Amino acid sequence: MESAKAFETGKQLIGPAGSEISTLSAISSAGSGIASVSPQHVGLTGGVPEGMIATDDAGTIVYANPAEERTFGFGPGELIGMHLADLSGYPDEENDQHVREVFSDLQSKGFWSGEWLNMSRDGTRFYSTASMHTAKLDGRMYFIRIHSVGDRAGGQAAEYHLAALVESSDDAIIGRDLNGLIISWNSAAERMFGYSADEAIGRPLTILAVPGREDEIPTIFERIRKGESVKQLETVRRRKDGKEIDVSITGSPIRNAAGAVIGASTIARDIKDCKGLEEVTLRLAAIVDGSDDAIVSKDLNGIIRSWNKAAEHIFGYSSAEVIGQPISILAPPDRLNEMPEVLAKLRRGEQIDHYETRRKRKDGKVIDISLTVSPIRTSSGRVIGASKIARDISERKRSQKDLEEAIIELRQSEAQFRTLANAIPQLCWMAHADGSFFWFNDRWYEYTGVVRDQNEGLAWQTMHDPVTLHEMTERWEAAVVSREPFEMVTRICGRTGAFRSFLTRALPLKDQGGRVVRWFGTSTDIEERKLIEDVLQKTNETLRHANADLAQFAYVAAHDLQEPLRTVVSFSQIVQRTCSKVLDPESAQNLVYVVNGARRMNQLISDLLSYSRTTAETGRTEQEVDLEQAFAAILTLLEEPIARENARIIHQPLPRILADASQMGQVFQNLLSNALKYHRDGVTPEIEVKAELDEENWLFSVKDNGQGFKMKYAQQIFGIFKRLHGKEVPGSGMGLAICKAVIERHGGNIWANSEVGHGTTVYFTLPNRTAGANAKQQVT
Amino acid sequence: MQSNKSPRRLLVVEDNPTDALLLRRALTEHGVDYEMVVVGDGEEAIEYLETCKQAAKPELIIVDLNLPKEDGIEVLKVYRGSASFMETQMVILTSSDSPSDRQRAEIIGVDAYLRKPIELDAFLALGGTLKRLLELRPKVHDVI
Repeated sequence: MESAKAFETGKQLIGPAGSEISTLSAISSAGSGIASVSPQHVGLTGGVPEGMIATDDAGTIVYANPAEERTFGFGPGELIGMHLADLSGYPDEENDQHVREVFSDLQSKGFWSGEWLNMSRDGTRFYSTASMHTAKLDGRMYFIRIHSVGDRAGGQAAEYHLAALVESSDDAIIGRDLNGLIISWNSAAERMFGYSADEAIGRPLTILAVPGREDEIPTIFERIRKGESVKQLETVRRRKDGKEIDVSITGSPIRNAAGAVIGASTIARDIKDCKGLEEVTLRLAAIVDGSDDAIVSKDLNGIIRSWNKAAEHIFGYSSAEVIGQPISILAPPDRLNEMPEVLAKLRRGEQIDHYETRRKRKDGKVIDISLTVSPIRTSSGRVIGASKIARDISERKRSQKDLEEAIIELRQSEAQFRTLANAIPQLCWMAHADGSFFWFNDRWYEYTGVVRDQNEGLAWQTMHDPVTLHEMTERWEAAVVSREPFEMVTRICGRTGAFRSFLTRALPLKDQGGRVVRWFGTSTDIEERKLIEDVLQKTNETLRHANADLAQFAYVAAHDLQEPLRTVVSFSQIVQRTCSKVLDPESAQNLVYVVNGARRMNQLISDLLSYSRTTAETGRTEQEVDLEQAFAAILTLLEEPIARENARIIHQPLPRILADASQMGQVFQNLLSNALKYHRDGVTPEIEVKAELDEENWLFSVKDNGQGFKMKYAQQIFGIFKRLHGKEVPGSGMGLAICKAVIERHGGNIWANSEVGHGTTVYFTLPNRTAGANAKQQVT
Repeated sequence: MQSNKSPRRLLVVEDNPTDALLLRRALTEHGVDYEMVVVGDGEEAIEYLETCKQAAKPELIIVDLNLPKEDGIEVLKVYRGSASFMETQMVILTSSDSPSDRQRAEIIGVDAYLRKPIELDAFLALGGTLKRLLELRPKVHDVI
């Protein structure tokens, strides 16, 4: 409550323009001083009609202005000594309470305003809007009430009101007369400049001038005298203690009612706090320079005014190069129109946020940037330029572009996949990593008749044969856990309600980390194949049985057929022996025919049995056979005919192969026998046996220099009982048929080349299999 | 060693009478003194063996395979492990060369598996084989 000083006896009350002088006596004498309200003050208060009353801290009226006296119907001075509550129209108890509450507010806050129910002398009650202030005088508290009652007579009250405001201001408010002498000096001025009001008043304002700048104050004062105002002039003033302070000065002329300038007001604001702003500014500058974003400011004409380091980096221009240049140097040709639009927006005070555009670097390269442009305003709010924050988003754009392309590619790939998946005849589906199904192809819906919108996760299970569903679910769950491919033959119900067999396979699609991303599965309809397989299996079974039966039949037949033959042979021979003396030569010869016929029959039966054994034997008795040994054994067996024909047999080393040993021996025996048997008369038989390895197969050949045969019989000779010779040459015609059966049973081929009079070569192939390649078989 | 006191008792199970005739000739050829009982099938053979007295038990049983009714193998199976036939030699004489027949014979353990040859001389030679088998016959009484 520095304003208290204004009430001190003999001291001047300083109004806002330093114009009004009032004394306590004016107050205490109940209005006598009030009469001397100056015209300046009236001008300052703007003639606001206010009633005013002052009380002591107990509410006893010590002063009322004439407007107030009139309003309440009292004569001059009649209100003094009355209580404020006497002028209120509230019921008794409330009256005191109301005043107490108002006073309580005043004491705590120094101010009160609100509606007041008044009561005039004649008992008339009326509402008014009132405001109350506190003031201190000689250590005592006074309350001042001002209220509008539609009367012009409140000028004096306003005067005090304004005095209080002036006193409470933090700005120094100084009044000068036309001579430049200080006539008012508020408490803020005392604090700011160190001079008390007593010291300052009456002295020239130049006491505040800084040495060397003494001319400034008179110059300003001269301008004000001419009626001009000076606004927010930043300058320096000197305190009483000689310390210089930064101030912002606003000076205005004080006019009288006639409008003539009679003085000047000066409001000085200490801007040392603003100096602190400099530090802030420096700090901000460091932040701006340290930013990775280009931060640029420009004026409303588009001229670049500041340019940070990031801007240098992003655009390639140094700040020296661009400051003062139009911002348009950054515009690529296709964006020239954009700049004026941006400027126009800014002039309207609009902000532009994260606007993506392109700008040109000094080197001509165009880059993608994201712009945020904000208007720069003066403290009064006027737009004077724009700050522009630009972020280089070329990299982001590029990766965004890459991503977009990847997405497009992915979509295409996805589309291709779906087209493909819908085009193939299989049922296709996909499942999540957890094994839950989320997609089926068109074929699935076609086959099952399931409606696409149905719960697919459920539908697939209801479509499976209940017989295999449990196993399928278990195996599928196991596959999902082990992340191993799934394969199973399942039966799936079609739209007709009939089940068909499907080969269902699923593969896990894994990411680079080996995690399963999804499962892709197909179900191939194998119903027909399965039926065929079943038929084939049954046929094979039947065939196996038939072969076994045939083998058994052959043995039984051989046995049963040989019994009577033995009887014929044996008993013919008994007759030959016992009756040799009594038999005539012709009968004896006839008996020989009987015996020979029976013997031949016996041979045919044996060979037939041997052949049927080769073709019908179930379960191959394969082992690794050293053909060299097998061949040597056959040579021993054929020792007698070889010696008889004086045959020369040469052979290349023969391999070890996986085969039936006795059958391979039989092949060599039959082929060598034939080569010996069908020699040319007078030509020493020469037989050459070869074996050559040709990739997967061994090619064997048995070549002789015998009679040979016409090539038209080359196929026929491998048939059962097929012979090219009459009975003069012994043989059943089964030898080559047996060879063919053996070779084919071992997975090879047999054929012959021959030329009559030159000889025959029989070729046969066998797969190059050894025990090593079939170790398991050997172990078991 | 050859016992001249009494003829060797033989049981021949054979459905082909001419083969039985050839067998007699072969034994005679080798000077074997024998008493031969010939039955035509396995059932008859078992009936005979079940009813014959201890003293009349055959010293050698010769069976053919693929007989009507009970097969020869079945007959041998019944008596092979029997204590009362410990002294009896058991032989198969057949035309069959079937591996399964040979296997069956091996399993029950016959004293010989002989094949019937088609030539007279070869058949007659069987008499010598049978004679040696009779001579090798375990003589339980001698051991005791």
